Amino acid sequence: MRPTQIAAAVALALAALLDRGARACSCFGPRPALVSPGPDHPAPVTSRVRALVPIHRAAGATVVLRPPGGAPVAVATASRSMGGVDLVELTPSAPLAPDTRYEIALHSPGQYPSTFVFGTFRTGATRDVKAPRIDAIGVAGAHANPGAMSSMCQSADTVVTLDGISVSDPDRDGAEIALGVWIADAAGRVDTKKLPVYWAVPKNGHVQLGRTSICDPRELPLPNAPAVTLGVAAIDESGNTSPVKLVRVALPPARHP
Amino acid sequence: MRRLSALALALVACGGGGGPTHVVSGVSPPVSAPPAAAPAPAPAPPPSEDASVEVGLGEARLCVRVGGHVHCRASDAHGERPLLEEPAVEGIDDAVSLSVGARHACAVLRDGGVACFGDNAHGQLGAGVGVASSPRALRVKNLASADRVVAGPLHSCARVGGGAVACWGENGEGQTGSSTHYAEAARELVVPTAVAGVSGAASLALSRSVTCALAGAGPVCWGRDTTQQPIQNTPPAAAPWLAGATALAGGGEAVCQATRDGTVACRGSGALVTSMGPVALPPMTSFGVGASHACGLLADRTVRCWGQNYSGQIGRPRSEIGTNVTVPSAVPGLPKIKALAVGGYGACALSLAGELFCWGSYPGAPREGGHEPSIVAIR
Repeated sequence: MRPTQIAAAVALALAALLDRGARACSCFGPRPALVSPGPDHPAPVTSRVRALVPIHRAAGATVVLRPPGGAPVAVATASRSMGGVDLVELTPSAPLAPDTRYEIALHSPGQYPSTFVFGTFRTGATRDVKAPRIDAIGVAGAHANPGAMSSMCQSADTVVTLDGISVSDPDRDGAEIALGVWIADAAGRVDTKKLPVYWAVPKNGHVQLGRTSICDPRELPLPNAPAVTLGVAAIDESGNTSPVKLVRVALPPARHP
Repeated sequence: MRRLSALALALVACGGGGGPTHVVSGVSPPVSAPPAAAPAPAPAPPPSEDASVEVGLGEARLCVRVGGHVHCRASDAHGERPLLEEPAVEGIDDAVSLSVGARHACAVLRDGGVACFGDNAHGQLGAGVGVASSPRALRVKNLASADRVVAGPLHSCARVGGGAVACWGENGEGQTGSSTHYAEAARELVVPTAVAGVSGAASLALSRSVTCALAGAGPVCWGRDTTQQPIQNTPPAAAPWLAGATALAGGGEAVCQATRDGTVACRGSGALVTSMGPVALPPMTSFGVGASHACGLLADRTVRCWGQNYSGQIGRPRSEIGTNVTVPSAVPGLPKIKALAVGGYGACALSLAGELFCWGSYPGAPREGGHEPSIVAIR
């Protein structure tokens, strides 16, 4: 997954300062956005589809994967809340067709227009069955911005930063590798059978977890505690997941005034 | 309801494009029938499309079609070289008609295809490409028998097969008549969709969120329906509020109708709807709608405009007539006019002698604003 893609996904759900004089922050409501696969490279036929979908959506709305205008592909669907949006993962029940374009849509029966196509990608011919790996992960820290000005759309939430990150995929150069983040329990255990609570793409070895803007619907559900243990894994388009690395992060005090 | 002929469509159908509109050089049939006592305007000659000069104005460009070629001056252009000295738009050499939308434009080609250029953020080029814009005209996919195209603010529609309608582009409110809306990230999938149940279309009007047609079975609209409470998006459905329409034009957020009694009334939102009611005009041959103003070409070949005047789009200085003109005002200083183009925040008029006059906001407008008509050199 490309950093630009996640950025675009977030941007779709984000914000805009309507008034350049910054008298008020005005956010657009979150819109569905494709997270992975990205449009820049042919996706493996083993790809899963991950999308951010607003939690407030029409009753009965479903995320569908299909060739443009065609019949939906049979998939298993899992989802996990990330605050104002759900991370929805579609796992096709069989490999996708090679060299084929697909579209991802939110289908809302009873509405007009009923189908919102919010992403597209094209498959190549490769399969990806090997897990990526985290080659390095460096400094972890957290900070809050208690002076955040909501009028400027700034969030006072705590943001965790990870630096010195290096990830790779042994069987695919150019694989789109994201970091999935889980919150470990008191015993330091992480349930990777569930979707991550947060999803981010490292850029130049750096990633920020949490929202810096109140318009960002994605939240990192940190506990009210002096520290948190995060489970971090590298995940490729096909859902292959590296072993989890645990990262202990000290949290700033008075995060929730 | 009185139907417009195909010629009327050619002359009157006005793209919404933030107020775009286009007109073929020549005299259009009356859109409001003159009173019985009034002399009827001269019969409309058939458009000589190869020889005609057609002008289109949008927010991003002022274009002229001469013969099969289209030349445009962009809104960021400097200098005032004649329009025909601007490079011809690549990909178009056999255009028979032109429509300029807010930030894109389309031309019908001699073989019945359509080619569009400019902004493609919403897929309004209909070419099935992912680019955000294209200076080169790209063929709209799956269109082979178009005889008219209207480029709107964010979408486009063509009349095909002699009366059916196909649309493409932004569809967040269902304004293309399709049940599928494509996000910008999926614009490469946008291609024309036949609008179900619409045939015999004569006049088409596109606003930002609504499309209306005077179709064979009566007026029909699709998209954001402000006549319902709560406001909702609707697929193509009869539009009884257009029952008296003789011509339609769209622009900005409004669709406007001209009626037989010489009234122009608008629906939707924006200044033409919220700040003023229906306006009365003498017998008129065509009219166009911009982002927040409208102009009519009268049978006596004069032009009147109404609506917002922040950019001088009424053709008279704000200091003289104000910023919200609710009564159609004659545009001064024009010779006899044969064709009118209204778009964005400006307007242009082509004189019988072939001179082009523009006012308001248009590419190449005087730096201090074009509050009165100025000549724009074509050749």
